[in-house]
Amino acid sequence: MSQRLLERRIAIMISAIVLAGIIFSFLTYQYYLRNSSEVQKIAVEHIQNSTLIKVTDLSHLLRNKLDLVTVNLELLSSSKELSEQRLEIGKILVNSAQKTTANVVDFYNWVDSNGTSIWSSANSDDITNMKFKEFSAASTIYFSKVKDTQVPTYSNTLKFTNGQSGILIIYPIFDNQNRTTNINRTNEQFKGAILAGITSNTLNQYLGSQISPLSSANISLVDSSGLMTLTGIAQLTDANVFDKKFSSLTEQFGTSKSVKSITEVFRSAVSNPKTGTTDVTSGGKDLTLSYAPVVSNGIHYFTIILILPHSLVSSLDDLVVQQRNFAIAAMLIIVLSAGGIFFVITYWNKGLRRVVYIQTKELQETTKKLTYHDKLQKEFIDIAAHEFRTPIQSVLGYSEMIHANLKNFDQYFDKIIRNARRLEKLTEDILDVSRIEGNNLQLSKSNFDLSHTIQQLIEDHQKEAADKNVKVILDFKKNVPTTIYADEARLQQVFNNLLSNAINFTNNGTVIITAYKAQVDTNVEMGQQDEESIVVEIKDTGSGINPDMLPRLFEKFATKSGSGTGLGLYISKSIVDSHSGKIWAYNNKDGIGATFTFTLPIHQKKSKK
Amino acid sequence: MKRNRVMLVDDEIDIIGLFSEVLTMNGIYVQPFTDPEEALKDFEINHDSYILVISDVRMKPISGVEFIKKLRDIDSKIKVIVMTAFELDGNQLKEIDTDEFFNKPIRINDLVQIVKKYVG
Repeated sequence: MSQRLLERRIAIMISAIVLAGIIFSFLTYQYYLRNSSEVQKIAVEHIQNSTLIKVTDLSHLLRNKLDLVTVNLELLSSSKELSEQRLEIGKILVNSAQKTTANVVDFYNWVDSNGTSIWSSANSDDITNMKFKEFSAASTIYFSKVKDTQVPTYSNTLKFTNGQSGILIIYPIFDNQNRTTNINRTNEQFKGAILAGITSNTLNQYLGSQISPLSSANISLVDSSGLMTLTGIAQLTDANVFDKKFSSLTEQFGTSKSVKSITEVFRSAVSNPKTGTTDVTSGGKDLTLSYAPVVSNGIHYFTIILILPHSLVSSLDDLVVQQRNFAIAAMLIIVLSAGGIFFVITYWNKGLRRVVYIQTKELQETTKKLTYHDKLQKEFIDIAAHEFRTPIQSVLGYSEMIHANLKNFDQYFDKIIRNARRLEKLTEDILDVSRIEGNNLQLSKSNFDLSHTIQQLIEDHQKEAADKNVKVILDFKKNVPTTIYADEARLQQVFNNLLSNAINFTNNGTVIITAYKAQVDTNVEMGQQDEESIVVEIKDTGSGINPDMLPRLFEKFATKSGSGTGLGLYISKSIVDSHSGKIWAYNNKDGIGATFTFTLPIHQKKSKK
Repeated sequence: MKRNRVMLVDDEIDIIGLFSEVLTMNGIYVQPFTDPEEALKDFEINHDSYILVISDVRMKPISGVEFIKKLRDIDSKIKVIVMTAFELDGNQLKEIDTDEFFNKPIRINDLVQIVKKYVG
């Protein structure tokens, strides 16, 4: 792949990853955004629900308690004991009534028809004495009302000197014994009243015990006239929700940004006694206001308002934001890392390519040099061959010409010719040696008839043999295959060499050439192996081999005869070795002449083209 | 015109001289050339008179192979003998479209014998 194409692909991949990273970051952001708003919604709903539940619970609790108070008052006001003013039993009844509603009511007071206290459940308690006094003072008005109206009366929130407030519930006591069907009771039947006194402190303690650590919750208790009976917000103490000043008091928290302000919520909660919840934003804070009326026996005593800020929500929101930021940061890191890795890879790749390029170039150079060297070698041989042969042709040719035409100069030209022939032989031998040394001796194998070849060669040497009175005999055994696969020309060279030598070194004798098939050791690199081979022996009755020469017989320039080059045996050995055969020589046992033997494995490797 | 001439082509002047004399002495009409291009020009005109072309295989400016191909393009009936002092392996030989082939140096007797085979 070309450099540019690869780079372009890498660039595309990097862009794709970066783009994917951006898209994912964006999607993650959106997801977390929605997630956080969902979470917020859920949390807010949760707060709203719990606040509502709580406020409802509280209102029920308070209502139950007030119901109990009412029951107590009803029982007491209609009891015979109190109407007949049986003191002892009456005291017990009053005290036990207090016990049952101790956590809401401060005291029960039994007064006579003139308003004088007969017995109060608060007598036993020093602390309540103070309250009692103030209550007593306030209760006078209501006592008159009860006497006049003859029905139970409920006070508004009373203010006391110690900063507290309270309410009174007064029930008239009537003598029912002399009851007539007449609904309007006469004064004679009014026997006094029983009242229950409830202070804001007591209510606060009671409600506080019910609310369990909702630490930021704030309870406000507003009576039906709008007066703050009880509140946790300092500024709103003793205020009236319907007062014009009330809005400015709530505005101190901060300006309201929501549809409804705190003031509106308070007012509507008090005016329309029903359970509900509203969210309000004030001073940057989100608040949930839940309200529930406390209605006992049909009387709307209070409205409980619970205020809960959304601090939890905001901390939750913060968490979600954190998560989101973290996710985006992680995404960015991944994208950057991916980008970084790709850049590193590209850089590496470039580096590697450079190295590979350089090394390839070097290899190419080396290969070129080697092939060039080989080529040179081959060329040398080629040229050397031509250069040798051309003048030789001239020398020989002209010499032969002169020889043929001017027989007078026979002797001179004889020598010229002989030398020229020798030069010719040397040339071929040197070239062969050069080939052998340079591992360039390439065999050109083919199938040919060995017997025929040998016979041909014997004929070629006929004259030479005859001149020396040497008889050449060929003993070709039957087991020799008719055709063999080998380099014909080269084997001819070997035969020629050996036969020439045999004839040269023999006078008035015989040369016997024997050829047969046998199982012999082959000249294989791996080790000696027995192989089916043709064995050729050339035995002469000549002068034999000089014992000193025997060890170095097949080396270059070992023997130097008159017409020989000294290279013949060396070349013959190389040829035989190339055929995986063996060549050796020894002096004959009978002491006359020598025998040269070589083997030729029948199974030859196919020659390379 | 009788087809009885032998064309000799070799860039070595000594060889040409030798072979010409040898063949002439044996009663063969010989036309020697040292330049293959010249030889081709002559052949184009006088191919009818030639019975045999003896050529070296390595020459300049055109190679022996090319030379022989062109000869045959002019006259397909011409007989060609190729000679060389170079190493030629079997494969190279196959490429050359020749009737006979010999290595230099060659004995003049052998040369005469070969030529007489074609000339008669």
